[in-house]
Amino acid sequence: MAHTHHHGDHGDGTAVHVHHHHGDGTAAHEHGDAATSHEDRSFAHIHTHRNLIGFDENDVSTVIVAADHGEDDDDPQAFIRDYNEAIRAYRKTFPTKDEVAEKTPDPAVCEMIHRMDELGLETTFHRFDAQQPQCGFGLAGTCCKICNMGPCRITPKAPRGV
Amino acid sequence: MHAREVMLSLKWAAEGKLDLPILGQQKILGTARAFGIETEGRSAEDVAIDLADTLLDDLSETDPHRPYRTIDAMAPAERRRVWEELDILPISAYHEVFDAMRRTGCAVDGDWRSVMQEFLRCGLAFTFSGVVGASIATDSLFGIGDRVTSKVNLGALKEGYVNIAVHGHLPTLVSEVVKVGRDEAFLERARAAGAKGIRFYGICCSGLAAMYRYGGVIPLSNAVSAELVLGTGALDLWLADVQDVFPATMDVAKCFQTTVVTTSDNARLPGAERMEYDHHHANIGETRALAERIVNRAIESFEARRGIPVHIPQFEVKAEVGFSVEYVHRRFGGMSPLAEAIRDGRITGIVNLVGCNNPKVPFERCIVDVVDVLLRENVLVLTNGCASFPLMKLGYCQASAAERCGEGLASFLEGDLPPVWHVGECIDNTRSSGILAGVAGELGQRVADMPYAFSSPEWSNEKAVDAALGFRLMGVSSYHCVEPQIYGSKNVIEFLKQGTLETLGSRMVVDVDPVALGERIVADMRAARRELGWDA
Repeated sequence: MAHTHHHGDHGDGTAVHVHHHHGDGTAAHEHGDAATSHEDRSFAHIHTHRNLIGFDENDVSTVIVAADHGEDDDDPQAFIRDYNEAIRAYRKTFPTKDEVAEKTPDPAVCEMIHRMDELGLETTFHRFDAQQPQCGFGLAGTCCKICNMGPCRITPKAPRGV
Repeated sequence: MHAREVMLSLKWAAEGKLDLPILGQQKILGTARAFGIETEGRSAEDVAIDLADTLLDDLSETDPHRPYRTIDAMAPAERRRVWEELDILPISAYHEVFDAMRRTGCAVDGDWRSVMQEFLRCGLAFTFSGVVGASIATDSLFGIGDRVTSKVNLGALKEGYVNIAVHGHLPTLVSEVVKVGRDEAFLERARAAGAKGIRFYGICCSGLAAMYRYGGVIPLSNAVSAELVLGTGALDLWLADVQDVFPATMDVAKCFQTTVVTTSDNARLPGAERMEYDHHHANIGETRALAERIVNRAIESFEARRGIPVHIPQFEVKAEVGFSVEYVHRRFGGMSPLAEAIRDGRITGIVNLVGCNNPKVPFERCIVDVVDVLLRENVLVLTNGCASFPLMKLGYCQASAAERCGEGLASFLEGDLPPVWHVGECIDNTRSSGILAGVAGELGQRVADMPYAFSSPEWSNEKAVDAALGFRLMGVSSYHCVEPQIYGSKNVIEFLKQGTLETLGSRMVVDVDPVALGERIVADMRAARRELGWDA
């Protein structure tokens, strides 16, 4: 069922990993540790009925193969697992306050971050550290608090809000 | 809110309710003509009232049969057609925001495509009322300002002066406060209190806009690092209005007994003193009196704070601010020298590099890394708002930064222009889009086909989503280092990143690696140039 042809080119060079979704709903390969799964770049022969969404080497969401036509039969559960994995990896790119002080290009900012530490005063960077790990549902945009039947979030068990 | 207050300020100044001079008479007359408002034989004040009313109606109209005048007057015809075909022309800014809230309420709109269409309508409303409308009103009332050289960064803070920082976005009260601070009577009072004088500094947008209009309001920092500025202990008064003013700044201010005054009834900070316009702006006629109270309070605060330890990092740089469409016309006689330089490849393209900061990426590092790539590749950079601060502070807004550029760009700059043109505050994105549209028009091309890009590498707040969207709607792709919170929806990811390519001519690219992002921008520009048949 998963016949594949190559359409178009991926000149942008982003490394992506792809899940070939066969009709039986199982992912074509295991989603392991973000680093190793990027060695699988075999999306060269994909014929797809809709845009395929994947995650690049920084686990940022992106369209990896543009659609030809119509709808297809992706497995929503696999997509949920994929993006939760991507979010976990994306979080790893966030800097700590100390990394900020090290990497920020303005020496005045670096000096003041240290001064604030000396004085025991809090900054945006302290508060960001304290907020980690940030909520996965929030990062995915899959939490809704708009009405009082909620709050609802999307999970494999609960793919729809109330 | 910002747009509404400046539009009302323009109207009230023209009606005499607000005692401010109307400084942008040329702007008023020129813009009114574009709107089809009669100017022959009428006073600038009368024209200003009609212009302000038109902008206010675009902001708040409920009747769907009334045309959105700002779009009709200001948008390229080709774009208006695209938006009409997509059925995304707004009824008014207020209406679309109301509609967006209603349709995303409990069990109303269940069709993601329809929600995304409303998203685009809001983008147009934000762009044309929130940005363009606000910019028209601000330039009309306060004047367009000009290219000026300013000192920037913390080293410009000087002990021994009454140090007042303005933080936020609203120009009306700020303009008056700066004026009062220069009044000899108040300088005398400051000297009597033991100060050498009164100095003004800017955090975020108000500072930038004040700088190129009045000079002498020294930009210190963007919103995310505001606490670091307060942490120097050098500020006597912190004047805060709307947006991007974090409540936690109060705690730092308290440590140094820096007085915090809020001036907007919808932006209060617990513990701050309120010297504000009330909810109905009933006291708009007391603007001068409010400004005097604020400056007097600053002088009092200076006296009370004597002896408080001050730690000022000794880093100070010069930067040029205040570029605009009008400046380009004055400096080059029109858009054609710039257009020619792009056409022949001395300049690869133009990037509007703006937005906020976000602790999800190393502070100010992504912005600098992206710009380094761009300048090397002969891309001209326009900047404003929070993102412009690292560029100002690290010398990119000086002519000497030409040494960071490729040969083509450096040659165009003629030794006296910086490679990064700072247009001012966030609403001055209007100036940038004016430059982009002006050059495109000169070359007879659509903005969507030009080698342009919008980049807000460290974006964070809601305004940033709209700013990117505004340029996307014009056909300029947007590039970021921070991912929006959309992992959970394939449809939305596809729509935002790829789906508007055919309809609007633009896409969204996110890469947490700023160097890769910069290289991607350049690659896409080169592809656009080839499409236009410009490079062999």
